[in-house]
Amino acid sequence: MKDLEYTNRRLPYGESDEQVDQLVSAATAHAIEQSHRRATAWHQRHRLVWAAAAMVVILLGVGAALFYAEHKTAVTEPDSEAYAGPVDTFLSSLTDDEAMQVAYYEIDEIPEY
Amino acid sequence: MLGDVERRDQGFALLMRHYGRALYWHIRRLVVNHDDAQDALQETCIKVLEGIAGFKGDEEQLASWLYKIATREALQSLRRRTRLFQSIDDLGDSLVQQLHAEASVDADEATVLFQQAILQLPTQQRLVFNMRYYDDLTHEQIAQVLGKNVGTVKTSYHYAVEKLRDYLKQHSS
Repeated sequence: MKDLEYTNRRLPYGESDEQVDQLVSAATAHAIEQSHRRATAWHQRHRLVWAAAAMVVILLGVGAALFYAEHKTAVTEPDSEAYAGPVDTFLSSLTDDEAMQVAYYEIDEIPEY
Repeated sequence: MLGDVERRDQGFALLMRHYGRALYWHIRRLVVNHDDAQDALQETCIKVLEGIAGFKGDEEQLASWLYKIATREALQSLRRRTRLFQSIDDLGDSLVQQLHAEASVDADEATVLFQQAILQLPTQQRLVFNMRYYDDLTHEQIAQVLGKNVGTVKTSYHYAVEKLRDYLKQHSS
């Protein structure tokens, strides 16, 4: 039999005040513990998200650097080929007179073999 | 940040020391079963701790807020006992059976009969009557707990008292 002191009413149940207090403090402690566990889990998840975001940024950076390097090589390649070609090497080795002769060389004057 | 958490935990523990018993008995009267009452109290504590930082109101509103959470958890516990399409209001007989199984050996017949009469009431009337009669909450506080207007609460209490009087007249030897 339970007398509720705060309102002076009776209930047909057997729990004593001490038992109820124990239940309440156990429930209180459990709620606090669970709240701390959740907070820790949240922080861990938070750290994982940041790590993943940093990884994505790094990958994007590396990808962009590789793309830029490849793109730069592709643009400069034709120029270097033009200057390094055998015709250019030959023309640049000629003296001015020889170059003039090549420039005024008539197609009909090319001997046939 | 850590200091805030510690202060929140201390405040929560203090709050539960003050209201814990009342909340436990409120839940116990509704769900009757001791284990279910313990589980519902546990859930109530968790919900209170989660919401305590965001609570803004005076002491009267604090009591209403706590009872609202406890009531919700108790009703949730009762809902788990219902079958498909069965209402909580239909649980009266099974709650009475539970009451007889759980009543302490020294419980007098009149107290058991009175509790039995309360368990026969529709849920809203039972909630209103319990909070008014056992917990001395004002009609305004009960209205806040249930999200109803004060007039509805007063009417529910009036009907509950009438029904209890009739039931006790019929069942008293």
